[in-house]
Amino acid sequence: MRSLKTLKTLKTAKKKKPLSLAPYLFLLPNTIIFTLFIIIPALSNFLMSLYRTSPFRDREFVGLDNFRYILLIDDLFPRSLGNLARFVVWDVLLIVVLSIAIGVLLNQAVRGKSFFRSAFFFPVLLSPVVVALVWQWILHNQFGILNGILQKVGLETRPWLLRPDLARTWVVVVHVWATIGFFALIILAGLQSIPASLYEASRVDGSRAYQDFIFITFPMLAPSIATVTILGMIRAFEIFDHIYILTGGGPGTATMMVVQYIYRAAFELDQFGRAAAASLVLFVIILLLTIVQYLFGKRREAL
Amino acid sequence: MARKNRINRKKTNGAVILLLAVGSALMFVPVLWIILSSFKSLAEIYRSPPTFLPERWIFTNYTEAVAQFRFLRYLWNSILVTLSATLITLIINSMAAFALSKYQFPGRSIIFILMLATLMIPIRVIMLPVYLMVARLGMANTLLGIIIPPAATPTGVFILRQYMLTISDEMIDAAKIDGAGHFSIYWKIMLPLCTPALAVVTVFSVMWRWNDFLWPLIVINREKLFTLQLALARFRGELVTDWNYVLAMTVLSIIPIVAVFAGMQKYLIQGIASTGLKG
Repeated sequence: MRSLKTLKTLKTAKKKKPLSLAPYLFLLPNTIIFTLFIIIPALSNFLMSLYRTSPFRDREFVGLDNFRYILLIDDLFPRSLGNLARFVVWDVLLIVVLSIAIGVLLNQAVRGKSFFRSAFFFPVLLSPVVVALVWQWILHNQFGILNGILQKVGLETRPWLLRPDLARTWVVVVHVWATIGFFALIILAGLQSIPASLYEASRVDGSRAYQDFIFITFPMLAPSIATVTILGMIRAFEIFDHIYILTGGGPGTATMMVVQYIYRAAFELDQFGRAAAASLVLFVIILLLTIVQYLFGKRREAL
Repeated sequence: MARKNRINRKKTNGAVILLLAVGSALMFVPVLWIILSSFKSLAEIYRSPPTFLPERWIFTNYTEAVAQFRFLRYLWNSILVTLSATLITLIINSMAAFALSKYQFPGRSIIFILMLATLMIPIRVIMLPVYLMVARLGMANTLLGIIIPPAATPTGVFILRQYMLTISDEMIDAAKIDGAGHFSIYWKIMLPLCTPALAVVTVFSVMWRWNDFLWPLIVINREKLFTLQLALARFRGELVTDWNYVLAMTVLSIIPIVAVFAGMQKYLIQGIASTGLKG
């Protein structure tokens, strides 16, 4: 039976032997766009970072000057990296913990399950602009409902988006609010793929619910948690839209992240070379973290 | 013993429902307040402390927002971008996926690996050179400049290829014997069989394109070509006094995407689930 199958695949492979143009034609449109707008730009980003350049000027080779400038001279870049690091840590931490909690809750056999699932997913449908507009109003110092409620119950109101420490906290909260539904669904799918027989077996052995969670759910869920962590991290590193609208990077530069720094350098200050250098630094950081995580995952598999 | 268990079960069920209800409220109430506020008069919006329900329901916020700000134009731009971008993505991605799943040819694995590798490139990291390419091709400040560059998504090709691999070659072979050409096999046999995977790619693409902000922000600076998201962001900055209109437009901009979700929820959840399982 098996040999018959290989024979068949051999045969079909042979049938396709005369080199046909068809697959190349099918690939062509995608490949053209892909090459023009992903591969060439990815490569030219390296070059761009070595020049003083903009769309409106002739370019001039400056070696590593751009890197020297953003890393050593302009203290805004290190500061935006610091802001970003802090944002990513809290954002990813909250997303991982909450997505597991919500995923587990949504996996319980209770009435209204599909309603709850949609409810948690609802903010994911909203655009970053809408999310930011909504929260800008809620957190508004004077006219926002949050301070309104606090006032009503006799608590102290706060300028939520006007104080650096509070604004930093809220950009994390708002981003988690907007994306948690997506990650919870990944966890939920992971939970649903765990075979029920595992739990039945452990029940026969007389294990308790929390033991089930530690010894069955958690290890079986590891791949989904890894996905949530990696995706969450990449997205957090790329954060721009929510914060750009919500705080504009302020107050001062308290919530300015790296993509906003890049955007500002290129499109507001017309310094494409420096912006490209900053992009490259961000890229290397993301790449290193992805590799570390990959290796970490590999080792865990080996164990 | 069994009865005690059942009571315990009931208690945990109650706790679970309570937690889920509180969580759902946290997800809904912020938007609900904005929807309610979009029916308030400007004076009521600018009141401290704020109200929750409108004192008087004002529907003119909506009619005036549509009349005064070229809302219909932004809406049309958004629809045009979302639909054509999704259509182009579906066609070119599925063609590429067809080649990568059903043909043996030199260079196949290199192309596939290259594509997988770019999955790892965060697109925003290369937005500047992409913009320069767009400008060089004369697509800056055109809707085409928004639509085309992100159309060749590696993710879309990947999802479709994985699905096509599960479709047996027998039907293709049979069609070949009947004398069907390459393109008609792709168009008449492959695509209809791939409907579920195409639906997943469609939902992702529509959501992404409709909500996208940074890329249109970079490509477009003519007000005539603004998408809804750009218009919302811009008016928030400029028309500080006309928040009643901004809120009304915000609510209007949510409706289409919620409608799409309501219709295609199944595919979206399926798509997200497979992202998780793949990892």
